[in-house]
Amino acid sequence: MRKQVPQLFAAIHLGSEQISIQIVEYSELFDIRIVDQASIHVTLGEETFKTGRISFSTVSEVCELLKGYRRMMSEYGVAEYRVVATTAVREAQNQQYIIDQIRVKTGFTVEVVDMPQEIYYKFISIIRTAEAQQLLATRQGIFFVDISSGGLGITLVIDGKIRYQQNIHIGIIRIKESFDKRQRDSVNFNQALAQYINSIISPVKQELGKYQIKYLVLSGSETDLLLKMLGHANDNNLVYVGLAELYKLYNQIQGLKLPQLIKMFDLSETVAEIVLPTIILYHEILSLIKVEELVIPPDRFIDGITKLYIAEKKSSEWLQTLEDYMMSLVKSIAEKYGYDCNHAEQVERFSLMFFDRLAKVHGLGKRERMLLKIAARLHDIGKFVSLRRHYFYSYRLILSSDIFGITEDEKKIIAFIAHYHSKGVPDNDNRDFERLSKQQQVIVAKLSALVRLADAMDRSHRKKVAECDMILKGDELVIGVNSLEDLSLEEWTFLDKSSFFEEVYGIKPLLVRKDR
Amino acid sequence: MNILFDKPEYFVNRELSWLKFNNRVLQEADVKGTPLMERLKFIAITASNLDEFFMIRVAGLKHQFESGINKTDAAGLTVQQQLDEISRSVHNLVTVQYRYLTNILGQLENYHMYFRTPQQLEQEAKHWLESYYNNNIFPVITPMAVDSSRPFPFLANRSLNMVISLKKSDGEQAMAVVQIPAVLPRIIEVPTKQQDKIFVFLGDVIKEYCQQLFQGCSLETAAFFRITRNADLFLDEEDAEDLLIEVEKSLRRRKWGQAVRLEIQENCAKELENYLLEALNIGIDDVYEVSGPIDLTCFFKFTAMQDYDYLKYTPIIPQFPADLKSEVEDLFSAIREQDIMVHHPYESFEPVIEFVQKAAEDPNVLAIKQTLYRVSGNSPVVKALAQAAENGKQVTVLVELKARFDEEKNILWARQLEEAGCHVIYGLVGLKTHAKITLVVRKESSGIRRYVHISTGNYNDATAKIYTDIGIFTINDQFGADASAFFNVLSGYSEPPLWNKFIVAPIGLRDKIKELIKREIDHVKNGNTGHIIAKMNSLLDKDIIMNLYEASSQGVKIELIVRGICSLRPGISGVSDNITVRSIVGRFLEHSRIFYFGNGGDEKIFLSSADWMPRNLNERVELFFPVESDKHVTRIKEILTYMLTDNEKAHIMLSNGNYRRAFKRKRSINSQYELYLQAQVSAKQNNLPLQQKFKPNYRKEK
Repeated sequence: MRKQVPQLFAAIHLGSEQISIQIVEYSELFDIRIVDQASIHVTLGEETFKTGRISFSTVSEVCELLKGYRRMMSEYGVAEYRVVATTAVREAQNQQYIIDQIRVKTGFTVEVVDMPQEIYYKFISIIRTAEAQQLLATRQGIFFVDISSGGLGITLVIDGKIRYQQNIHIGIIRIKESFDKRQRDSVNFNQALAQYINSIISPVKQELGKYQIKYLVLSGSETDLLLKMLGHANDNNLVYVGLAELYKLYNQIQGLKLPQLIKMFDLSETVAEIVLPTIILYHEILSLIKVEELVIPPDRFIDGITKLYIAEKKSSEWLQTLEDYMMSLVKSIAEKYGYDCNHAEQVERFSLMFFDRLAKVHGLGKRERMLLKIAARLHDIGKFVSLRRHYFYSYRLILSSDIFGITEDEKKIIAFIAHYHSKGVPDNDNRDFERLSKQQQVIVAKLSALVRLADAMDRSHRKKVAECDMILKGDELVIGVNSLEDLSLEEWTFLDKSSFFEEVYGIKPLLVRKDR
Repeated sequence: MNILFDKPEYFVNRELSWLKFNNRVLQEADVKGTPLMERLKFIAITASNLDEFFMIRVAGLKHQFESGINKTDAAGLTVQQQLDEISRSVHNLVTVQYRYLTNILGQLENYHMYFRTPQQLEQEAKHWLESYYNNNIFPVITPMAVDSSRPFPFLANRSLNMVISLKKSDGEQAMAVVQIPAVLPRIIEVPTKQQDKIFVFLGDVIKEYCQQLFQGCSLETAAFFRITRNADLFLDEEDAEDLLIEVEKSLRRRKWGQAVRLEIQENCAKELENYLLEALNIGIDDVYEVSGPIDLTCFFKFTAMQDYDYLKYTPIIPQFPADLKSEVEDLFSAIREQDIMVHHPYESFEPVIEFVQKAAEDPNVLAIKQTLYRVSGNSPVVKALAQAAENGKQVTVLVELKARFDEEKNILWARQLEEAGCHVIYGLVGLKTHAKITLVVRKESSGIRRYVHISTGNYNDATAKIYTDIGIFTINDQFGADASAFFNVLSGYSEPPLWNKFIVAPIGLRDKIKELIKREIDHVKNGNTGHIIAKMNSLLDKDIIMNLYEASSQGVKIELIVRGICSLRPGISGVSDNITVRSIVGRFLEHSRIFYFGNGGDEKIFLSSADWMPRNLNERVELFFPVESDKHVTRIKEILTYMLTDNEKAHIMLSNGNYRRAFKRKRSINSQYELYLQAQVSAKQNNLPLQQKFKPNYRKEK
């Protein structure tokens, strides 16, 4: 069989500390070859954290560089690409103008990702590397800590499932910029910095204390620095580092001043400035939780962009693995709020059934199906806060949870599905709902109508419906159910809740007992 | 670093070492077996070398001295001492140079070539000359009188002039200067009826007939002189908005530099000499009286004269490279099969040109990237690059604007390439790009393929016939990825990455060299042997030299083949007993940089664009790369062996910094000649009609 001609893809990352491009050749997800890459240090992060914006002169320089990257792309004939921006652009008040300038000057459309997504991209890339290098074989916990310039992502995986995921606004550059030069030069700075970091991340400790964890997988641009200071080679493999090594380094750099650091480790001044916050942050993280070994993967954000793009392009089976990870996280969130697992499963099952049966009617895709699945899982978590208006608290809790792998907009859709899963009609008074695009509003309506009916079918939370089939006949959807128990409550509720469904789809749902 | 080795007596001053090199070149003008015209050419080469030496090196030292800097060099000489030594040394050199010249010109008479003054000519010839003067010379000369109202005129760098003292009709003394026009040939052939050829110098003709320029005055005495000026470019790159414009500006300034040397004809009247010294503000040490024509570079043109092939080297025909098989039609597929090595000038430069030309035409080629440092006039490489851009390829060219004395030319290429649509980078701020590399990106059915040519020599088809250089073509993607990354760095798209194969100055080359030397020391310490062979143009870096001393003292055998400057002193007891230095000066200019490391039996060979000089290691973008193919390692070792056993063109350096010719034992070995013979044998094996193979695709001129 003739091997197919590989395709080309370019990923460009506008980071806080680096602007990078990666050009790859691929035929399948497992067959990716990096053809060319370039990366240059920038100070966008410092600018944003200090002034809240990125100046036009800086943007011009960025555009010049991006023009160069465009030239690189044309040197290989690359047509497919993604340009993704993270913290620095995301948090700049003039974000829209920056993106517009880049579009006008370079023709690139920049996507800005939020923090959970940023962490997600790195996470999936690391997962893929870890899979290949048998790191995931352990059934013990693996603690993924990603430190970017502006954020800290903590993800706990046990036995292939995400048990905990939290993202904190504390990154290396953000820490550095939180203190001015005078403060950083103070003799008490190390201690103050440790306390500052500790105060922010200590709540995590209570949550994680109960788990048995083997590896701490550390990622983020500063890991290169760590490896350099520890004298480890930096090839494209996982690097295992003993805890003793890190503690030794920690003790070594305590009390060292900038010039000494520069000399001892052969660093530039800008790099030396972030050594202290980095090592103290690592140290504080290690104090959170007991781990056996440190693992440093080579993966960067840009690798995640590339891998996900190719997986989606090639409809790889790996996408299912990723969805499983995400659903395991959703489940962990639901568990945190003491949800009724059986009921949620029922609702998820029926919702998806409706969704699949009505594929031609709603015209929605895979992505929406996944949103529906998540919403079905989380629709009742508001009961944790209050039994009155629980749908409202579900909405609020979802909005304030980090669910990585989905965008901020998608999260809003999920939250509104939960909001309208039992009553009300998504329109009129709700101002937040009004802020969604018309298209998104329709998605919310379509999907919440499904959850509402599915929820009605397990109104008693007793999993009474054992079997169920659905037949679409003209403008009637006949839902045939089998149950050993009395379904009166479900039937009455169904009738009550079906009007919304009818309004959205123009189809009348009918619940019929098949065994009668 | 062992400070034991940091003693002035262990080092040779750079300038004096360079003068020794120029002296070795001059010696070639006195080798009996060498054809006369070639010997004359060696004289012209030494003259042109000296010009450059004064314009840059001496000017630099003088500038330092005048700015009050009088620090000592590695050899312990102050700036003043260096200038004194240079003056003495150059005076000797010039004396020898003119002695050889007289000798050669005398021998040319055996072949019926005569240099004459106008007075010595027969009547008929004189008539011809006078009319030549009236028709061709007179219209372009302008006498410039100097008196109280007219200051001493500005005289361009390296221009030949005549100073004349005049007596006006009222008895008043006056001075005048006549510039000998550079637009006319310096050596004029006077037609004769016999088979003899008679030549006169342009200056002599002007001197003979210039009376008519000064109506009403009488000529007292006249003398020829020439000034050399400081010609180094001072560029403020940091503030340069547009390097192209800055370089152009400073080129204009070059003509105006401080005078650093005055060449004047022997037996010039004292009053004229004093007058010039004062007018030019130049010291007596910088005056060079010569017993013959001033500016011997005029013999370049003379030796290039048609005919007289019997007085020149038999021309060599660069051979078809041993690595290329005749049946292989396409260069790219040949490279896909195996790495290809080309050794110029023994092997033809055509494949290198073809590489770019083919790439320009090949529909599958997406991009071409190349560094250009010095290119020839009407360069086929430049032409091909422009063609490639016009054919829609992405072409990136780094044109080094700061390539000394080629700046003007390079500005021209840069503009041409830009107009053709190439992406032109004008070098880097603060660093000269000296690396020689070409990258061709091709889209093939298996995906992107990168073809790399990387070499020790410039992409210059003219000098490739005279300079010895080695280039490698490869498709090894570790080289390819490095090449891409290298151009990304040069284009400002990226910071230097971790390299697969390349070692790049100024980032890591120095450390790498030291590491490689250290590894040999370690092998000795582990009971193995240590062996280094390093061939380069100049060895000047004190830090590296001290590392070599260290290695020598630890028992590493070091054989250096250094053509030019060598600051290292071999054979000092306890310091460099295990180091030998030889310099090969022959028909071809040794230019390849080859580095061999014994590595305890696992031999490694590297090629490089860089000499071991501070400027190459610190201020230039240079490449140093391993030779990967075992076949090439073997071949390069053979090349080194030839050089190390050369006893005809090799000069052995002594501890005192002097050189002697290598002793001949049984058979005389001329490494350059042997390598050429070898190339001929390999080419014959490949058995192909060269002309048929190489038909460059030029675009038809309209």
